[in-house]
Amino acid sequence: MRKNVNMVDYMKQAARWVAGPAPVFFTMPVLMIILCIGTIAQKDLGLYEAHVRYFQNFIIWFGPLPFPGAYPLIGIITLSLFTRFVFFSDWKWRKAGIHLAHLGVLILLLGGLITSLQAKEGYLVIPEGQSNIFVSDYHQRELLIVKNGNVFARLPHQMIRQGKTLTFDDLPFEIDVLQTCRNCEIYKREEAPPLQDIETPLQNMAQFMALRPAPLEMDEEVNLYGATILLRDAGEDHDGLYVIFEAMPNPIEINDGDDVVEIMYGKAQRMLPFAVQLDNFVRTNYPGSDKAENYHSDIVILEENGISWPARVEMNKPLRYQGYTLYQSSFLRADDGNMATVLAVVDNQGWLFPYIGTGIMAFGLLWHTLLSVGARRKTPMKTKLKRERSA
Amino acid sequence: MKILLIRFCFAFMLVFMLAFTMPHFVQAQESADQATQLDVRGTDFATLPVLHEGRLKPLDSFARIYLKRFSGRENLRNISAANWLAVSIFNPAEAANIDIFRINDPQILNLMDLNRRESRLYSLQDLSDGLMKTEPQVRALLTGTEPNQDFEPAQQSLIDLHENVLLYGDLVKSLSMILPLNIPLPAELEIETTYQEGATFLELAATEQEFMGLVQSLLARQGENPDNYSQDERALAALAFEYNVLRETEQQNNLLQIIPPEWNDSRDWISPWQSLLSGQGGPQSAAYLRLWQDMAAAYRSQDRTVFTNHIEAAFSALSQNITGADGINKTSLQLETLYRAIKPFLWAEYLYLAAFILLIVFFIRPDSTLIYKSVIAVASAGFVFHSAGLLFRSFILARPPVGSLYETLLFVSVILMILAFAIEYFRRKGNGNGNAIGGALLGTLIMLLIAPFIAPDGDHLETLVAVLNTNFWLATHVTIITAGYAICILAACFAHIYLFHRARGARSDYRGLISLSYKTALAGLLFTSVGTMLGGVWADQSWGRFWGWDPKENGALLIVLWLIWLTHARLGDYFSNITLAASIAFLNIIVAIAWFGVNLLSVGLHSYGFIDGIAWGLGLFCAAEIVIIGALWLAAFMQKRREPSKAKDAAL
Amino acid sequence: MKMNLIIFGVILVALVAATLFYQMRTPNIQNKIVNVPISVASEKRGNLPSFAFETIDGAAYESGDLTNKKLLINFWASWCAPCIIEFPHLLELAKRYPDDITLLLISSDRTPEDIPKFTTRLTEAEQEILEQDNVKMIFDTDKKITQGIFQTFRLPETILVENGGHMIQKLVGANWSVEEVKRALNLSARPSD
Repeated sequence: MRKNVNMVDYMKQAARWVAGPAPVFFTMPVLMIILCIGTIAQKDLGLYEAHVRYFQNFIIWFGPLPFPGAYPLIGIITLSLFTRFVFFSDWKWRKAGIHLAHLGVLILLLGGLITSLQAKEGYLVIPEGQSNIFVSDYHQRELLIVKNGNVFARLPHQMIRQGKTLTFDDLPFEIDVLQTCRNCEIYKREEAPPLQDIETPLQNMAQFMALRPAPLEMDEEVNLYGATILLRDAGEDHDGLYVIFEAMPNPIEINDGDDVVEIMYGKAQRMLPFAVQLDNFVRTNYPGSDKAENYHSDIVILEENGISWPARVEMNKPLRYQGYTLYQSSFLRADDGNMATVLAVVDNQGWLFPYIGTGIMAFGLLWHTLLSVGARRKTPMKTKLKRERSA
Repeated sequence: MKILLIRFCFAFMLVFMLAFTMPHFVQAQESADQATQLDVRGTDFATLPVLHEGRLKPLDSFARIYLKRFSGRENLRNISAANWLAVSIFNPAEAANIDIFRINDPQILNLMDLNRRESRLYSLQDLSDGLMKTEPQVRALLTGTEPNQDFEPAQQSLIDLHENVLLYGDLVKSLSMILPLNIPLPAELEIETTYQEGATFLELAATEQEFMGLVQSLLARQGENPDNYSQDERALAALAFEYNVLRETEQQNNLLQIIPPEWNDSRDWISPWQSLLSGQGGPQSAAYLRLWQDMAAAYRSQDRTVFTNHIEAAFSALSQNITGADGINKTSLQLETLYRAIKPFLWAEYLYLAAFILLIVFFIRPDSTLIYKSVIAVASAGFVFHSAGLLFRSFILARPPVGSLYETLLFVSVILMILAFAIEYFRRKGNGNGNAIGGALLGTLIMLLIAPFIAPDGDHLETLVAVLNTNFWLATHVTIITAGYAICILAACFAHIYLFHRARGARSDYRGLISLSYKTALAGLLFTSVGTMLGGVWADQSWGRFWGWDPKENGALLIVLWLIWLTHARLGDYFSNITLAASIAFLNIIVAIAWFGVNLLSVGLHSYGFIDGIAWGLGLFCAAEIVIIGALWLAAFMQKRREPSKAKDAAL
Repeated sequence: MKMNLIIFGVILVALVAATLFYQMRTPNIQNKIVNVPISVASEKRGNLPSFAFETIDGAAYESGDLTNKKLLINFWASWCAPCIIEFPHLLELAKRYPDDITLLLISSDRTPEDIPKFTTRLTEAEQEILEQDNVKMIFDTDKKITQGIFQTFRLPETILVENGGHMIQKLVGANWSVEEVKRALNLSARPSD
């Protein structure tokens, strides 16, 4: 009997400690240090790399030394907040503000978790007068295999690893991945080291080009992902060594009887449930200058059932539809002088959480600050001063 | 004895202020040399609108910007900006003799065969020979280098000088089509001329074919060698040359954009030459340009009444012809001229400095309510100028005054002052502390003093980049978070003062300072956290994600996390009052890093520009603060050990 | 403790529901395009200034006399090549809409005699159109109208004026089509003669 009581007491004490200021006191400095280091690192590593390394990680390795990453620290704070809110928050007027503030932050953090788990960001480039239905991801690349005009497979770039063999049902070949590079430099085949098996035929562009890894660009989107692959079992005409990289002018084409299979490498594409057509891109400059005052895209949403309706996407005024949000991100000018709009497309089910969380937190903090600042002091000022002078 | 001291202080104050402000007034006066030209001050000339850097400004601002660019000052000793502009466009021959180009570098003076002057200013006339001589050099420099290569300072100055001269050349030729070409008219051309000195380009253009016909027959008769010409014939040839030069070269002159748009839906005002040669002219611009011609004639004949009448006519023409949102707002133009003339922030600086000195006197004699009241009075006067300046800016630019780093300095300091006044008022029963106003004055002075370095080209009242062009978010997110900066700085000031007193042995609850500091920090937490979250909401509306770990976002988060940390440290009794004060005092550094430091990284969506001096200034500030806070904390800690009874931590 | 858990749960459910609801709803009108009616834009232009002129036949007019019809004011000269290219378009408009528009051909030639030198080289049909009531040929002495009033320094330029003397557009150069002018002046399609 006694043992059980002690166990319960022990749990209660532990919970009280978790819900107290201690976890915050100990984790905050670490979090702040990581924040500083990660921010400064952005200058050299670029935004994406710095984020992945410092802010989207469980452990950060400084050489051989492990350091807690943002995830565990935020996790501890979330646990502390949750325990405090659920178990130790009595609703008294004086304390209500703080409880609400805690609740607000909890919702914010929860929103952050949901976002990090499922949010997908990408962009849509639409030249004037044309339409587009595919959103390109900013960072994720994929090996796209198209059979007879239909998408057969999308392999995320993480699957394309050196030494891996890719086999497919219903495709007349197998692929050995010989080498990959996250940022490829293209150089002449003559200067490349000779192949292990000299008999291997060089196909397609591999006859003139070879790939080797180059230092990463600051901007992750600009990195040219690529691989050197070996195709087997495709027949004499097609077997051999190929190079494949992002935005290659001609995809690898394999003919097998009546079937035509194309292989391409590029940014991962997602299909929207509607197409977006750009009618007009308008850029307003400040009068008499080249500085942009505003720009917006007049688009038409083309739905699957044939209905189409016009809309406008402007800076600071996104379009939300069917769970997707379209933002005016930037624009391009094509070689022929035609304008193309670049819309950022975000699919994030958790987008509403930060709004509500912020609102509750703001309200709670306002309450608490007003109450604290306006609180009467326990000893009147006159008495205080008297005491000080006599001290 | 006390009274004598107080009187002495006031006298000192007065002398001090006069000494500071007098040179300012003296500079604005113009010497009698101006008598040769009409003085446009007192007329509305400088309020006439011109399109520049994306918005309509009064000619006064335009003049100051360019005069500052050429000479380094907005007003010269013997000519004001408005008068300089008037003489430049109405009487270019005179303008060539005014000393406006600054040359500091002795190397350049050498290259151009010029003597060193005390004023360092040279006129166009002075420079003409040297410019011709150095032109090949400049051309070689500009064509021979790669795009990102930097020039040496001397080379850069030479290039800048040539560029400035070219720019000034465009300026003086802005109205050249309505000014007389100083060449006597040949008798065969029968034209009615407005000026005695000769015909204008426009007058010649009306009979262009006849005029050119005469020139052709001259060439046929006498050949191309001007030595064979009679005087009349030489005049004709010179006139033709001038005419053609103007017609060819002025096509690109779009500097003085004073003609409102007439035809398409554009909002682009154009220069007089553009209205002639680009097909954008029309009946309204023809009429408006005629008004300017009348203005020029009146100016040259120094007829002040007629000059003023034509300016009124110009304003009325503008208001009749332009409707809707793109119309001119004469009040806004007048306010901008007033704003530049008064220089409210300079006045604010002087008055705050005076108040601060008085405050130091008050700390020596803390019982004198008179001195305290005069501190508040002088600071309030400064505050009136300070907030007037911000109100001017908001009205002129039609947006909240927080659009650039420069503007945030002005805004944070005004919030600091408001807070200080409020706190001084609410704590007045304790004989007025002076701490709040002291901290605020010091902070404000520092901010106002460094502001010119953040806008090294001068304050152009700039337009905003597209993504910032949203009044709602500027008014909410930016104002709240900058107010948060101000509150945190004030809390840090209180904490510094508290540490100082603890270091000299005061009690833990000395004058309620630590409580005040802590509560101010709490208010700071409210504003910075709400402001940061609002920034996230704005980012979600604008870029598609609530939080991107952008340097600016991280900086703001750092302030919030720091505040959360220190509040929880106190709640958990991990911090004594002294350490708490030290951590609140440290906010100065955190805010400085979040506000300025993040711009140094030049990455991310918030990067609004790297400015050279910031890195050094920031580094110096942080180092100094670390030393000060560290020393105070140590000293206070040692005191506490010595007298533990006094040091019992007071409740907050 | 239980209550707080419930509060938390309720808020979570509310958020999920709100997100789903937002997703299903029809698109916001706020994002729909607002069309600016054309008339608002053209109200910004000024009215035809008043000026007096004489045709080469000697008939005198005030610009105010002509504002009951639409006006096409064309600045040209016989030595200006693009002017000659656009001439037939102007004549076509004058021919098709004799009751709707008046065509003013204002010449910046050196002497009045240069004009007939040019017009005699036109086709018979074109010369016939020049004789119509709604076509007026004017020699601009000293370019008082072309440069002095309208600030036209480069030829050709054509100003379109609506009924009532409202100037709505200026065509700079000869690169315009009859269709454009018809649309701008709201001229209805008529069967050609």
